[in-house]
Amino acid sequence: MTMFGQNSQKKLIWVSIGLNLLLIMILIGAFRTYNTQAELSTQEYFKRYYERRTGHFKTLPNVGKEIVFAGDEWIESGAWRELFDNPIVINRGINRDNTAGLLARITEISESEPDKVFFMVGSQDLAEGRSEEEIVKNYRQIITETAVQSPKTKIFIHSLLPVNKDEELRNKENILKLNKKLEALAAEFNATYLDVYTLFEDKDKLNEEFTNDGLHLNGKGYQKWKNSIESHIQKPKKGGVLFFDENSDKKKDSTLLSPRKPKNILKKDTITISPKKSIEL
Amino acid sequence: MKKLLIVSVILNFILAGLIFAFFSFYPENIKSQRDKLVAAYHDRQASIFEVLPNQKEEIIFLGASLVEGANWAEMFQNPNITNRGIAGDKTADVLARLEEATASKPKKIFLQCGFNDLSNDVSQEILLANYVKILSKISKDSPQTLVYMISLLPVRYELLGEEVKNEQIMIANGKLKELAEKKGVIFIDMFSPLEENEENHQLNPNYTNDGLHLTADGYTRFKALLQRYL
Repeated sequence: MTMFGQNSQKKLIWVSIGLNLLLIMILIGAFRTYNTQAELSTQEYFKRYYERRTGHFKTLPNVGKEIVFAGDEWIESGAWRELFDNPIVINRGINRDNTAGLLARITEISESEPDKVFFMVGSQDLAEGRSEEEIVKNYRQIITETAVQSPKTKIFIHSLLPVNKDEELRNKENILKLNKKLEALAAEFNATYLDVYTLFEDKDKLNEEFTNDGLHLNGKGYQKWKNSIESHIQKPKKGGVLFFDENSDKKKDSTLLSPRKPKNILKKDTITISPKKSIEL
Repeated sequence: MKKLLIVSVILNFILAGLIFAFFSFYPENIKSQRDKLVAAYHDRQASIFEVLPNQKEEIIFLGASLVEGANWAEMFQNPNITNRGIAGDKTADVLARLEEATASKPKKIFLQCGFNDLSNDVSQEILLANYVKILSKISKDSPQTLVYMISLLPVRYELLGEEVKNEQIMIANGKLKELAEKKGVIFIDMFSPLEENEENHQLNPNYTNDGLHLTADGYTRFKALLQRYL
């Protein structure tokens, strides 16, 4: 180091320290950018998924008197129609949907005047940090809209499930607090509250037997869930052969196979639906 | 003074190394985390299919996210239709859970998978070999079942990126078509009806919102093309 004088040593130190600061900034910046990007692309992915699913639901025929399972991915993953072996059961679940998302699409569900609606939603709201008040407010609106549009529809509200995973917001305390409110909400509307928290709880956690990620259910879980609510699901009148109730008071046969509204998404050349198709079942 | 300089310079190298390591490993790490989620999802959904009762005269839609993304039974107003799509599934994953599908001795199987093979760098040869295995297993376990092979769809680069090229997809489709002819299975071409035009081979922008999956319009078109086989 003799070739350097005191002064140049000092300079070098400053350069080196400056470089250190710069490198630290680059490292932090890169880390943040990557994580934000990953987060954003996940959000974008599910936003587009939501658009696709809601668009698709709108094109499905309205048959009336259905039993609808509506909500988030816990609903979506349950092949309810097959689980109950019941053709009038339909699925309106969307992965990562929240109360705001369900509220925005509730008309699609209520306008067919379903016989029953089984709701489960709110878990994603907690994960996103939505306040309990806002979740309940949205939920109340979801139920109100359903009840106004379709007064005869029986409403069922599922509690949230327990979790077996460390999450900052979607934790045991917040879930239990929200479940209490949901139970009160159900009472307020004379709806049936279905406590699946207790059903799947094992020492305050989601029973490991029924999950592989601490959040979502496996086949065994869905079977257990199905058994616990089966008494609320009636078989269709025609021995489960017809997809829809033929004796429906509304004469829907003529419109049965056409999507509910001739929205612009349907181009004439793409509709090749024969109205006989559903009768020959 | 000298000590401080030495420490600081060492720190320079460590930080530079860390940055290098970050850019070399972090993207890979994110991908492997995602793969784990996809695998866990596959396991759960497959286990759900296992507990569902077998129906008579089942018409199964079997495949990955494209299959999963539509409520086929409602769309076609046919309660015999079941959905056996799992987002992210490759041909090998479908093959692994095929028994669940054939167990009900279905009337028909509509098969559509393979894109996830291409996007995960599975070779064309393996993709085709798995299809051969899938077809043989179906005809062995449920000889009465009619199989319909649905081609892969084009992708739209400007929305999805160019990780998988439409040329690759067309090559795969060509092989699948050949296989279908050899096995006497109906091959349904969904590539050409859903591409924007014959020159660019891009998925029609009216049918997608992410360059890969179908929107309501896309499924409506899809349905119209499938109707006669149901």
